[in-house]
Amino acid sequence: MFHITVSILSLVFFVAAWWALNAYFEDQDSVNAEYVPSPGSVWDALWGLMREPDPYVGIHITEHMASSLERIGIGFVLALALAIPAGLLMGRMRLAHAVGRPIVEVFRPIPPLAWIPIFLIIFGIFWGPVAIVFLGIFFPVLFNVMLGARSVDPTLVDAAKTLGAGRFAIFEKVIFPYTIPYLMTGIKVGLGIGWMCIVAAEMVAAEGGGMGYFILVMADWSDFERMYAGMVIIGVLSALTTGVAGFVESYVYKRMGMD
Amino acid sequence: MRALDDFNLDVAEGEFVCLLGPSGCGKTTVLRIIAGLEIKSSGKVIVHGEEVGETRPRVGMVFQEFALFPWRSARKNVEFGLETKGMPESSRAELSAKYLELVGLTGFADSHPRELSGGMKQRVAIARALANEPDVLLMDEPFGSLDAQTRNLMQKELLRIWSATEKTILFVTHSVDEAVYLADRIVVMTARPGKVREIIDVPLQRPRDRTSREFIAIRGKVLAELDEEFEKARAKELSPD
Repeated sequence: MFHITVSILSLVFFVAAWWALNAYFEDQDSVNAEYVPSPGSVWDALWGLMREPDPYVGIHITEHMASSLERIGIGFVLALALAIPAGLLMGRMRLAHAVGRPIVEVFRPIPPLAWIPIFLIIFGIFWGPVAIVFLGIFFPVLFNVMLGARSVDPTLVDAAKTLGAGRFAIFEKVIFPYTIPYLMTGIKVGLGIGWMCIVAAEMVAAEGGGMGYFILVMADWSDFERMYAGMVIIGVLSALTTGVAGFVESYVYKRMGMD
Repeated sequence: MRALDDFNLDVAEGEFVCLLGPSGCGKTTVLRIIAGLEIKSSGKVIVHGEEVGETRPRVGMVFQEFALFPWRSARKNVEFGLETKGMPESSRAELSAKYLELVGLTGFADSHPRELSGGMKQRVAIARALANEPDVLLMDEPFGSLDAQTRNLMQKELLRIWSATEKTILFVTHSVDEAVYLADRIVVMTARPGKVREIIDVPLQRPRDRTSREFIAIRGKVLAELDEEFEKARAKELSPD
């Protein structure tokens, strides 16, 4: 109870400090007052966006949200569909590891954002950002799944063999369940990177909507209230997706008897 | 490095044989070869007239570390082998219930391994191996990580299960006391590379009394054999070759 109280106080203090900073700039007649709008005005902008589209782009905020979520969702599903089998194979088969590891090591250190220009050219303004998100999620998932597959207790594999399990059954019934906690870690890390990727990619591909596009346009029009409101929405969406992942994680652990 | 050399052993159907020897003598390797988990460089393993090799023999194995799948309930652990055989769910449930009852865990069918004590985990592992209806049950120091009380209880339980199922059991242990308590015959192995040094019959009625004169006499004999091998193993360790 004590710590909850402290946490609430901490949040109150943060908002108060923000408000005081704005008040100070207003008092000084400083241009900074524009860059640091008051919490109340950002709140008003947020509610205003829920009621009607902004005057510059004219697309309702929920459409921006939907377009970012859609691209993240597609990139996420594609990344999982490829990273899980690749990670399992690379973690369990020497040959797959020998083939895959050097290529992965070449591409992994390149930040996904470095691919934005070329991906936008090749894949366009919808699939380009999807491809960036894909890259951002693919590597953390691949690496965590590979790590999990490598650390499977060998006695469990031996036990499965003596119970008559063939290669495929061992993958399906031993290796894969064993790697699920690792996969969940990869997913949570990947989702954070995914949001980073989508916002950045949408800022560059200045068309077609999306939250990154929205905050960039608001900043261009010096509408910092709406811009901050957009940032708040990004933060909330990102926290929600991570929250959903956490919920799925605890549900899976419960089903597996591992909670 | 040779783990085993000239290792010959015939085990009769329904017999309980213990393998005993200094650590690193290849006791576990014998079991792993029979289970098809390790490839032998030469020699033959014949189970029920069928050579172990391409065809996996019908053996079950119980490990010291239990090796239960932590994400499966006791029942689902027992059904693992049946699932891989493609047995329909109703027959699987029937068999798992039967073997969980045999090991005295009917009330814990839906518990997961982390909710079970060491002794209970090993009961699940035994039921899991038996549910596959193997010809031979291989046990690799199965009670090695249990406390002394549980260990004694599990030895009694194993003998009960053995007489109920009439399985052939090959049991690796470090404990002379355990071997004399359980086995029809005790195979004392030499230090690495492991050979059969001596096979000692244990012609005592079960349940055996650990404090009886006959029990102590056999234990003394086994210990004497084993001590010599321990000395040899130590001498080998100290002299570089």
